[in-house]
Amino acid sequence: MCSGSVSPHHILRAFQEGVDGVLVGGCRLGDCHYQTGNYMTDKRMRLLKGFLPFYGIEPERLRVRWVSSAEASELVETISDFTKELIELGPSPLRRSPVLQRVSKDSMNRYHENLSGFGS
Amino acid sequence: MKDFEKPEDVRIGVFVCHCGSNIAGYLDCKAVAEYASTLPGVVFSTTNLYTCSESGIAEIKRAILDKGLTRVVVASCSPRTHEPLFRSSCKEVGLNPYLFEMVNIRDQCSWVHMKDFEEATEKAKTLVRMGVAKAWFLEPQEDLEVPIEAKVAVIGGGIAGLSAAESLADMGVSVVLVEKSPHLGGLVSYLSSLAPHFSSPEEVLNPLIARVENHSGIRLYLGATVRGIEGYVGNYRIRIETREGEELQETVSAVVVAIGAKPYVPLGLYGYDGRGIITQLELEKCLRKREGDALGKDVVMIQCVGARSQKEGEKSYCGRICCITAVKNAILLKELFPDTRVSILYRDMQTYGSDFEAMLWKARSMGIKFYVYDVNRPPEVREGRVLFKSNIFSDEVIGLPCDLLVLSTPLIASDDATAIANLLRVPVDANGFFLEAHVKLRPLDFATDGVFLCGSCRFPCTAEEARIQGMGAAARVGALLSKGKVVSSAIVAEVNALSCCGCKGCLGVCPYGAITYDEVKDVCEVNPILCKGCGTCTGVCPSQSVQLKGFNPKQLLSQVHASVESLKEILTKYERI
Repeated sequence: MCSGSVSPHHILRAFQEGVDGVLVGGCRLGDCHYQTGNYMTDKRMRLLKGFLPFYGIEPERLRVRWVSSAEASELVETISDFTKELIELGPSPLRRSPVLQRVSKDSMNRYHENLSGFGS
Repeated sequence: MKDFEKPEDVRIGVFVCHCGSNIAGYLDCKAVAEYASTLPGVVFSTTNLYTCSESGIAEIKRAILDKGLTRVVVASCSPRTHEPLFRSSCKEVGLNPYLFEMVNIRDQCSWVHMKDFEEATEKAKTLVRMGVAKAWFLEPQEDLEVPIEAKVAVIGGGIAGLSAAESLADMGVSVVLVEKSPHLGGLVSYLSSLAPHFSSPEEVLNPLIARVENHSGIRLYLGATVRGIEGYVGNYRIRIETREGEELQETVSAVVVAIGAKPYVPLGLYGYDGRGIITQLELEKCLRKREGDALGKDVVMIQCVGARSQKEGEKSYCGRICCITAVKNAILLKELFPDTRVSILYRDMQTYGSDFEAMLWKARSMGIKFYVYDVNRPPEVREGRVLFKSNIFSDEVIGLPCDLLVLSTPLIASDDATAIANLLRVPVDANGFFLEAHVKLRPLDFATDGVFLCGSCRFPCTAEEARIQGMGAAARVGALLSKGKVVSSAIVAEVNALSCCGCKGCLGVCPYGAITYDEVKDVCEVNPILCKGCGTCTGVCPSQSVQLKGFNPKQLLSQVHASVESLKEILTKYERI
């Protein structure tokens, strides 16, 4: 599995679920286990970041970091720093605003209804 | 998506591993197991001292049979090391191995949160909840099996390629041998003799070449070039341009790369001119013709020319066989022309192993002189003399008379290495040598299935080592072919033709060229054998029409949902919301 498989769908869904931030981690650029997957992630995440304000989400809430699986301390540091910054930023607008909350909740519910009917 | 069971039939078993004290020392495994038992679908949960031990595995199998589990979740260490074991245990008692899910509560939890028992326990619960949520949506998968034909292409007709081709043909495999030059034998055919026993190259090569040329199982293409390689293990299609300029195609199951290396030409170093100042390979050619006498009485050799250097255009690595070559050629000169004076200027002599070391001492006993030179003050060539400072503690200059200067240069990657690497999509290192799948565990395999390597295209090696590697690569191919089929992981991407709009977004990002576009149906299609399961296509598909088996949106988003729900509960519990 590659960071290349992280779709904007996943990230937006996570924000709808009410998370305050999303961190996408991948192999260092040039070191991709699957050759070029992380370059695609880089492109896609830049694009998504540009769109986030359109959804009412600050772009700082999405972070992309290249940390290899052998760099445990860097990963811990990345997550700790991000958490600290998110605490300063406060709860996500999708959690703060009652309107957005309702909209996102409705769409979530529709999605979960869909989910249960998915198999048939 | 298959509808293979009703939700009420989902019976999940959760096994929480202590990993000795690795996990249990930093979080409450029992609490995690108890929490797991409250999750939807979970009908059984327990803890094990070591889930991967014999008794742990037995408990999983027993639970599958006795409790009728349809999903197994193990919360323990890294799937990288233990997932295959747990999957095969499930399979042994009849549960589809892809109905297994692993949760890493060691590397990603207990080892990270060693200082906070309570928080680590809560996080482990969340991770297990995510694993259970995904397990609910898992689907059985079948590994792909494709029959393969016993036919192999060997690229390169040097000693490594010849040895691979011969061994494969002796196994009854059809071999296509492609050699760029008009004759077989590679670099060895230019040598005067082979270290350490001074056997003649013809003695080794001629019988080997004769066997390869006359073997009914080997088809030879001399003076031919590989123009294209497409396909995958079991079905590589190689386009070959023959000497006559015709282009033809061979279909093979596997490919052995044995394109060798070439000597570094020391242009601009020590006044190299190819006449009085030559390389070891040029000396070999003279020695073959017994012409060394004409070249003069005083011969000086300089080691590590263009090697072990950080200078632009030179090589940083040790050429590995240049010391052996120099000692061998020095002995040969001395034996053929006893009144020649031979000196070798070196930085470190690398004559590994007992035979090569014995050769070095033989050279010393024959009166061949060895001098150390200081890398920061390399020798100078001036008016037929080689001047150098031997002792790093003094400025005394030694001057050796020199009629013939021989430069020991390393072998460097072949000009074709990059082209072949691109055609096969296999990696090369910073110096252009091919990179094996694992330096110790899989030294003759590429990471790409069905592609193998041997000889000096991997790294400079002696004729003997090239032959060993050639035979070794043949054995690796044999292991693949003897099964008669290839099995590849079921974790591949799949396109839903009903929702695919044929936008070709996935086609452009696939690193393996596994996706094609069907113009008639206006949809993209994944070739499951080429697909390596990275999921890059799924990341760009706007309609989620291409999905990775075992990681589809339903499975992944159920994990996102579970984690957020769990987090909300934790925050409520600790009144931090």
